[in-house]
Amino acid sequence: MTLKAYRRLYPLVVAIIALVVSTSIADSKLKRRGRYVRTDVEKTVDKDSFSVELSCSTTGSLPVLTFKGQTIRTIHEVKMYETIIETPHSAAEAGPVFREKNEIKVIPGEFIAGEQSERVEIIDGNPLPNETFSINGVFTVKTDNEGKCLDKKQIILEFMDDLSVNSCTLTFKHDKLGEKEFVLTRELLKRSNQPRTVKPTPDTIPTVDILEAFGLDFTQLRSIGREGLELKIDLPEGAQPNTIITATVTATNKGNRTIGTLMVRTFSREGWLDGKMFYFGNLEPGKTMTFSRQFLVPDKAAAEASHVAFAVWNLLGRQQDQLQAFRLKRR
Amino acid sequence: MLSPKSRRLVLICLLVIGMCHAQDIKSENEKGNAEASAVAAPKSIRTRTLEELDAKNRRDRELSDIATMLKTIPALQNMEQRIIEYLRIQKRFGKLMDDIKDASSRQADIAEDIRTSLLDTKLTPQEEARLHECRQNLKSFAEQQQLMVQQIRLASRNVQNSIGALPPPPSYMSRAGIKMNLVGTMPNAFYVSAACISKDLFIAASESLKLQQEPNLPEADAPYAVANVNYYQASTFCSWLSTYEQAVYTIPGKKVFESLAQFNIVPNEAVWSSSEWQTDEVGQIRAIERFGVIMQQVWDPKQRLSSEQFIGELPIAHYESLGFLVITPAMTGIARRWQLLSQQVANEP
Repeated sequence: MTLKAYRRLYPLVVAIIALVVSTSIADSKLKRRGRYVRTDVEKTVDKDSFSVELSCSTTGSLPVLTFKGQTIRTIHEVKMYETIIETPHSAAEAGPVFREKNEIKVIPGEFIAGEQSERVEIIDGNPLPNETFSINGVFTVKTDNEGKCLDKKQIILEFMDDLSVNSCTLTFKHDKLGEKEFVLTRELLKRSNQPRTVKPTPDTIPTVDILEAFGLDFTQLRSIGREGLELKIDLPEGAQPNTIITATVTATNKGNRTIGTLMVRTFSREGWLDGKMFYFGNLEPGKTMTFSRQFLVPDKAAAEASHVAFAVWNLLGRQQDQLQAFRLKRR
Repeated sequence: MLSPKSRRLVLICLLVIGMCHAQDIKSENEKGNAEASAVAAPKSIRTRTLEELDAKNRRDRELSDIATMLKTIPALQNMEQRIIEYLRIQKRFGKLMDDIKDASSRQADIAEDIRTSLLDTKLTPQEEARLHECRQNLKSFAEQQQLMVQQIRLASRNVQNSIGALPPPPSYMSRAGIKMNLVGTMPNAFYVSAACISKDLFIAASESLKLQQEPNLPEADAPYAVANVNYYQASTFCSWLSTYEQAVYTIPGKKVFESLAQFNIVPNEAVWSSSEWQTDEVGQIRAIERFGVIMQQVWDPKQRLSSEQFIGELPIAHYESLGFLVITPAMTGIARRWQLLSQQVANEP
């Protein structure tokens, strides 16, 4: 095209552009958002994580941590709405007379995007075998082939041995799967049968009651007794340094009333023997329960023997006649 | 030459004369005895009265001697010697009081004899006057003896107070053979055993309790080992010791240990305390209260059991290096000294 021709066409092009723009501006002024139609998924982001469950071994009162894979799926969504347009009423149309000047029509097939939102879903996966996790950055545990970890040192129980502590937060960490918080509680005096364990949701930290995890019932009862309690304590006679010894308390209710909220605690001058809790809960007549704790004998000992007492408490209070004391010779 | 008949008459006369003479001698003797007895009654009273005067003078000299002795005793440096001298004086006071009592009894007899004698109408005025004089003397003796009794009682009280004012002995050996040392000054002083109670003594006490017989106490120089006992056993020993010694013996508490530490009296072993263990840890306090467990305090100044001086331990615990001391009030030492010295003086001739 010659320059001259271009110059001639130039105003026409400008006029056309102006017409298109003005038309679209006019159009946009008239189109609006209508009713909500659906929610569309814009994108999905998956993140690998893990979950922890607490239970108890069948023997030895050992906590069992089960680690399972988990996918944290973040779904980015947007709400879609109808597109509606307003047009003025025509004078020649038959029908009722509208007061409004314009009528609203839905433009089929055309939608307007609305609010964006995110939704998190937790998808449970398979157990995580042979993986290493740290607890509170201090302890390290490794799962077995089934994704379970037997807490042989009863670290979980040690967190709650202080009776003034009713809950504590445990942070589990994996090199690749990140961190997970876990609230451990101990409800000693439950007033109802409602479970305290709270299943995790995307917005909440999972809460586990240690007594429920061990299958113990600590619900307060109206009618209880304490006569007929028989305690048997199995403890080795000697303790060699740098070894683990196990104390097993067997409680039998030989009376005819339930013994409520039964607990036993060790008392000793030596820290490694002192303050270990044994939980039994409600012990019905004729029933027998056992609870075991591990004690790590320290390397150095100031004396030739250690002494420990096992003291009893139930819902009616202390039971000093059941106190038993032992002497552990140093081997 | 006399005839047989004459001879017979002479013999009969001689016989009659002999019989009369014998009768005379007998009556003479009887008369003499009567006369003698009539003279001896006023004489023996007089003599007895004079004897009472001598006895009174002896008592006066004795009292004066004691008073002089009393003045010299405070100058004695040795406390035990002072007490011995005081006790000897008390013994002499006792003898004086006995003498006065005996004298009063004798004088009562004399007075009765005087009264009986005065009823005799055959007494001469001289004898009667003598008897009245004796009676007057007896009255005077009684008054003076009454005064002497009051003086002796006052002096005896003063001697008692002087003994009581003496300080307790710095140490003593108890009847069970435990050496006890004085700690502190009156009125807050007390005695503490010089060392932990020995194993042999503890065993002797246990057997004594079990068999209900006198203990077979160990020798003083027997090889020594600390009684490896728990708190309950130590308490039982103290109960036995208190009964055996007739005085209060107990296990010391925290305040006593603090006093001992101030006086630099520190046992080689850890020792039980009668105080309950108090901890600052709130959790432990609550647990102890909740479960009803008692932890007993142990004083471990040489840190034989742990790195702390005061630790809490279960009362059933026992270790080779954990023993116990016993304490008793200062009066126990004073009473023990008194008992031993009293026996010593009492055995003196």
